[in-house]
Amino acid sequence: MNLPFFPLHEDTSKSWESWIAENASRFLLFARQQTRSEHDAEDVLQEALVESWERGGGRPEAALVFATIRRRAIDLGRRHDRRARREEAAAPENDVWFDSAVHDRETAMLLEEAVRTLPKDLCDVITLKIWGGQTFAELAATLGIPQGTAATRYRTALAQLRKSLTPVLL
Amino acid sequence: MNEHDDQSPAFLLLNGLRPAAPSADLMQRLMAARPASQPPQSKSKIISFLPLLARAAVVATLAGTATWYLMADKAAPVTSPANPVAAAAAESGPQQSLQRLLGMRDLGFARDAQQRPVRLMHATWLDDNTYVPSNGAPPVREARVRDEIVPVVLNTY
Repeated sequence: MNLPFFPLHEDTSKSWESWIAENASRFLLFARQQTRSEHDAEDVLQEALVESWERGGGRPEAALVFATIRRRAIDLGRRHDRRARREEAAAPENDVWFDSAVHDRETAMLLEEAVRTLPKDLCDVITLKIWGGQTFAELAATLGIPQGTAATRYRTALAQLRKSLTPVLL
Repeated sequence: MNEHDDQSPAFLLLNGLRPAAPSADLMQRLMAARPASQPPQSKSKIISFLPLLARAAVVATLAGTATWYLMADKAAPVTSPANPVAAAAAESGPQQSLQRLLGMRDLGFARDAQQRPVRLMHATWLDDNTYVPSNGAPPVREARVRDEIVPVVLNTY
């Protein structure tokens, strides 16, 4: 009897590629928010994806990936010297965080600007909740904060966004 | 807070956004970064650390025992030593040898030939040897402190 032969590396390859195709956008968004430049975000993203995949022995939980991105971004920030920070501060940032199939481009830009100007702790919570698909328990674990704090920050972030988005909402 | 009560206008607006897709170059780079297939590594660092400590303890015990036997071979009295304990040991046969770990101290990290991180630990041992004199006198104990540097290879994940 001839049994079908499925090479392991091909299965792994397909699984990796489909996982990347499905999730790279939301992980990249979070990596961008955790780093100081697009270049750093891409490096952190790649390292975190590979590490999470290896630790999970395959397709990992999204919460593990977000936590790994955050940890690697913190590590990278500590390694940077002042000179690199000055260069990055002077470098133009042309990364776009969002696409919009629902809003017109102007509305989408206003929304993105509103999210970008949130304080970082609020921006992290909003990002993980809305675009990361995380529960409060998951995002609290990722950010190392109590679940109640996560919920409070989420409400605060929505309130701030409501104020800054008044022109769009009216 | 109920996680399903997000029906505020701000939320609905934000929910209409989608994270921007990575550039084609980045996607190509990520696809190419596929990790080699390997079994999941579920061992914690502590668990992988313990066998190494056990091995270090065994090596230290063997080294102590070897030293003890070498000393016993050289027990022929040539001159009369000034130290009475040494003199008794020189005329005695070995009875017991115990090695006790007094403490471990973290010295820092280095890299081995494969660029893996290696933690260097400083172990302090107490070698406690007991000899029985051949003339029927009470056993003689000799204790000494010994230092040892133990390299511990850490798994990286």
